[in-house]
Amino acid sequence: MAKRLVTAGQDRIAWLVILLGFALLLLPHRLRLAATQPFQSLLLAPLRLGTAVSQSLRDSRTENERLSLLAAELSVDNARLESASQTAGPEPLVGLALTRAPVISRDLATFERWLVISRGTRHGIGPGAPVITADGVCGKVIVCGPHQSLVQTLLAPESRVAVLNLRSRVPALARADHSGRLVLDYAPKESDFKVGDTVVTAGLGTVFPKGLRIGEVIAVPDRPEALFKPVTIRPFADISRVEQVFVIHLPEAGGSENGPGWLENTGPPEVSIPDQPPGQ
Amino acid sequence: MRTFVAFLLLYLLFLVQASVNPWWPDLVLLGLIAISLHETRLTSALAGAFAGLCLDMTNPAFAGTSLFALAVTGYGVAALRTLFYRARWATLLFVLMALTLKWTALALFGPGLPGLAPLLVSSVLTMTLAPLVELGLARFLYPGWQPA
Repeated sequence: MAKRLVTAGQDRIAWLVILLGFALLLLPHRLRLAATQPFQSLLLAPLRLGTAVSQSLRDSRTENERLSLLAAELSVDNARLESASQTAGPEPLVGLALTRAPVISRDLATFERWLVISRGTRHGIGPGAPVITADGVCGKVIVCGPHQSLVQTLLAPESRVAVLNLRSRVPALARADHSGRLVLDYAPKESDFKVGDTVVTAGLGTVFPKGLRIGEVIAVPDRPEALFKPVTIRPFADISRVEQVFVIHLPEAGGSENGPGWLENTGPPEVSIPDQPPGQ
Repeated sequence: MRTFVAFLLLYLLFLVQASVNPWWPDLVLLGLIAISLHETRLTSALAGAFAGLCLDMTNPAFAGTSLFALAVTGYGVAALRTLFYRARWATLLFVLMALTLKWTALALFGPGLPGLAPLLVSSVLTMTLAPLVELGLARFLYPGWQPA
């Protein structure tokens, strides 16, 4: 009997709820808005919070990409000025163009020897184009397809880059040491390298322009028996985690009609062998 | 506690439902039916009213439409389950009736139907998912329960 009374009471409350819902339906839209206003902010708070967080993340990603591009442009600009100051000539003109390229695949063994980027010849990229990140040099393009390119990173065993100590101006040759670091070959034994020195590209090859940041000297062990100074460098670019890179479009070799190109090393030097005098 | 978890689950389903497009299955309706199959009429009606109120908040100018439809759905399922809920597949009957009620309420009192294609796709997906959701929720919230 008591259970039946409780059930009947519950039924009445349930019907009351349904009737309240129906009564709400009969109200004009304006009153419905006013009646539901207190619930709206409460019930939709998680949704609004999620939307705000999502929007914030999107904005942050966009801002991050913009700043990365800016940092890469500044890095190249810095290299250009470095080149100009060394040649002591007029400031070279720059056909600066950076192409942002997402990394779509990488060396699965070490994640750092080569990368595949989703830009190719259709985007104006060719073999030999320098590849940088916002932090520093990443590598160079070695093979190009129409829409993809293969990038050999600084940490590939075959990679060699002519470098320069930014402080002491000592040149050397950097190669990977199979542990995610670079070591310098042919740094003179008495040369001035200190921990914390910044190493930049020397612009001596045909790929990298002068002055691009490569890494920081982290160890200069004292080995009297060594022929050259053993210097270890930590690359600025985190190659094993890089998700997007920037490919530098170098101006055509020989410069433009307005002046020299920003690099003297964009093409092999033209060497002419004089004809031998007759009779010799 | 179990009732609280059921309401919380409905709210979570609403958060998902509010973030997807109208082609998706009606997750709130499925959750409500699964809960109403095991709860009392009052709890089911309140759960329906709560879920409907949440859905109405996404379109407050038509507030009351989902509240009314889902409250009736919750109460109706709880009241009718002893009549013809004899196996899990019978959940489809309740879903069919609930969908009919929901679309009718939306057409008569609400902002209108979303269009034939999303209506059909959403309804078919809802019907398809119904036994799975009912089974999953029954095991999660009401372990050991078996249909009569």
